[in-house]
Amino acid sequence: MALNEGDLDALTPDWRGARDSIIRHLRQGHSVNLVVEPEAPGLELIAQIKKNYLPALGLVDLNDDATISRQGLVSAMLRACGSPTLAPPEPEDLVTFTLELRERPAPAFLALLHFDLVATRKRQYEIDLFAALRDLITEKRKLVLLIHSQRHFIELLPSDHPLSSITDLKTVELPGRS
Amino acid sequence: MTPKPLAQIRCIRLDHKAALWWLGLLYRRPARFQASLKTLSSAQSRKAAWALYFHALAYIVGLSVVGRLVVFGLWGSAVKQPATTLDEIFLFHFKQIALALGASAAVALLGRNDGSSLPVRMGGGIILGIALGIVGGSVEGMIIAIAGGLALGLALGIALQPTTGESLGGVLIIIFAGSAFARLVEIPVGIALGTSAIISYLRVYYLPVSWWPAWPIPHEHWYRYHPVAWDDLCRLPFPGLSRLLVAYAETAPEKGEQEITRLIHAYPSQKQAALKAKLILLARKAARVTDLSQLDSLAARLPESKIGSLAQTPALRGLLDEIAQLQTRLNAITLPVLRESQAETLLGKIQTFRHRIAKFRQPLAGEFGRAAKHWLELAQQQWRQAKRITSTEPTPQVFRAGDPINHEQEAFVPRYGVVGDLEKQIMLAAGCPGLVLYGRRRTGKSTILRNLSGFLPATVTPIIISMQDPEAFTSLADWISLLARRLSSALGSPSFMPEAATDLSGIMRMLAACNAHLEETGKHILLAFDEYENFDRKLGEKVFSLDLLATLRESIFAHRNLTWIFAGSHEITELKHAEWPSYLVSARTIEVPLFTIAETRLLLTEPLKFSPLYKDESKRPRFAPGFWGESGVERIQHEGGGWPHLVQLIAGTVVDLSNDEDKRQVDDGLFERALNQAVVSGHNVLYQLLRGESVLPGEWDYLSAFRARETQPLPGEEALYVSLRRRLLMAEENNEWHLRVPLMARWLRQRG
Repeated sequence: MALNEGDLDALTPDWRGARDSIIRHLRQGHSVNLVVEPEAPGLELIAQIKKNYLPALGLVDLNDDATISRQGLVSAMLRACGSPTLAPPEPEDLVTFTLELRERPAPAFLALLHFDLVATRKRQYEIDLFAALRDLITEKRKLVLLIHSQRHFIELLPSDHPLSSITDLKTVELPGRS
Repeated sequence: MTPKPLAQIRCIRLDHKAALWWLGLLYRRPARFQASLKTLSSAQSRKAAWALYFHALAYIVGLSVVGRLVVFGLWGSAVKQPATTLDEIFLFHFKQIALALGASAAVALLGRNDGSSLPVRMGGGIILGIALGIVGGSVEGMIIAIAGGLALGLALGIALQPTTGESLGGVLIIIFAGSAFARLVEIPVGIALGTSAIISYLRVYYLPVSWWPAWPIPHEHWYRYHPVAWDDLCRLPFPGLSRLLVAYAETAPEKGEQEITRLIHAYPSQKQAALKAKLILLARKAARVTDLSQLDSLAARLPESKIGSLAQTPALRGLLDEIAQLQTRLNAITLPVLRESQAETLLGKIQTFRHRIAKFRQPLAGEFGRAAKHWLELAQQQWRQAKRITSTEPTPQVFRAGDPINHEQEAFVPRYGVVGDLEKQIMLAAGCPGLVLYGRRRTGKSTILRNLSGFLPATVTPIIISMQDPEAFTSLADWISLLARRLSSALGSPSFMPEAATDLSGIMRMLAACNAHLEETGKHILLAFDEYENFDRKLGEKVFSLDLLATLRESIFAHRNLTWIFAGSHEITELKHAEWPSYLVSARTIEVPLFTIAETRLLLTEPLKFSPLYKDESKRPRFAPGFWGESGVERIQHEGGGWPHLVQLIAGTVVDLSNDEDKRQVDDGLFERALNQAVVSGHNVLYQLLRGESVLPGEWDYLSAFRARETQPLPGEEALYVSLRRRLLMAEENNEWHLRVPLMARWLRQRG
């Protein structure tokens, strides 16, 4: 059920606290993992943040079939960042994505919705994708992610890779409706 | 209009309009006419010439008749053989027009029908026909001269069209022709001929009517009627053209820019006006930017010239670049207190720009002066925004957990021990045998690498490449290309051409050349590869080959002024896909330790001590030790176990909470809340350090038992014992282990 803005503001202090934390972290340039309990209005919260606080926030929904392949996901992220560039086939898609964001004067803000689906796409979204995202987030600081999931981001990543994972994501938790 | 192709024009009424269009083209754009003609065969050219001439005949005759009525009827010009009867008069004029047509056709149609001579002959023939048709049989030199001048001028206009901008050459030819006529015929005839030829050659007759589309205000919709828009041979500059072009381009941006580009590249006589219009348009675009960092790309497009206001472009470009650089730096700053200071600097720079641009020539002074007013508003807006944040958050948030720290704007403490070890190894006379910078995750390896400049001798240039950059790991060719480009850029010499390095032998040659250059100049380069485990992973995926490791080994031994350093959280013996120890046979390991209490104290009290961005020392953020509460610095060091990431995490959370609660000093309650919040916001890193790295059987079980108890007996299994010690998680007391980092214990109890 979608809530209107008035309903959202009338929700618990937990909800307002989550909203304020997300906005603060994003504005400070920190990526955020919004962990939502089932029935929590996470998508509505993100929509309100985009509408009222961060219009530049691009949205990519992993429920969209077009994002199943890595190239599809990269294309969707490029579009959400306002880029007309098309992602070439793998493995050059990540190079294109990195170059596109690297040339920007300011970091791009991107929300990845229903990120739990990553766990079922380990064959498509392998380590290179996460390495590239980490490079853009932490090394180049050209990307700030808002990851929406029901499980913690770290639990969704490929567990056996030797690289430092994206551990500097700030975790913000949104409890369900009571 | 899309005309019928030249080759298809026939001597029929239906083709008359198309024929007139082609004749018009011959007059106004002879180069295009010529280009079309060159696509035809000789027979087609001949046929086209005849067809065009046929369609022109009626006009030659018509104009001749009208002209003769004026010259001989109204004006009463004298004739060679006066006639008395109507038949004789009619016959006389008929003969003259017939003779004119004969001469005209002879000039227009006889000769080779190639692309270069036909337009000249055709144009000259038609004009000659009209001229002779009008004045033939007259004995008055002036009339003959004017007619001849017009014919000659227009024919010259067509003949000399390849040098549209070089009016001087054409004028000299006309003067020569006029002088010859004056000498051979009569002086007034020569003068009249020369004058009228120059008028027609330079298209002077447009000048009296060309002002109306641009005066008193430019009428952009009338641009298409301006001679410049349809005649390529206007050799004199038109007043007001630049204003008209600007108005046109603002109404129809795409067409306008195309037209301006055409004039700049293909119309030398109007080039200055087009350049001026381009400059004005760019200035107006600059006045609409929403991000001042875009100014450098606009500045790069500003036209230049050696004369007039455009001669000041390089100076203007320099000023714009300075503003763009300041804005770019401001965009990269997230720290509000530093943003405020940077925005203030930007404001000052724009004010200086306004003063300086006022002394430039017009239109630079006017257009960029107006633009600067808009930029000033943008800068003020940014400054006010930063000011508002700093006033609501009196304690600056400078602590950052996770990312490699940028010491210019974030809390940073130099790791002198590590940097000192690095320096010693780099400066070894026998050359450094390669280095492994090892440290547990989140201990600050990347931060050390990215902040080496300023802490190493000036003769050492660090090049840092992250192996998580797709440009580095996508293929071996990409890795080689990236390394070559970074080397070339670091050396700043065009003689090191990165494009020449396309394979391992190419990059080896480049490395050898760089090393020789460094030896000559007494310098060193530090080649650092962060997350070097990705080399190993790519070896496993066969994206990289073992030849790469052999190349690295060869360079490590052969190039003493290049130091290779591999940073990661694994020792080379832990990597699986190659025999790394045999390739980095003598590599030395430098371990990145956790923070000492002295380092934590420096970080927490003078977090921006090493930032070069604070010109005014009084504005540099400092934290009195009292801010952190009683023994607050020691407590943060203890709770985070000196783990750099965790120290930053706790400090950052404390600052956010103190701002939220408007407190100037941390008390126990706030500190406790900060720790509880830190285990939530730092869930990912704590999960990874405790659970994610527990790969041995029973390792996580052992750790998770600390949820229920403070201490445990040491693990019986040797491998488990070694792993947990290596992970820096345990501290021993009374022959029992407890978790060394209280924050980890808290996370385990609350969330593990």
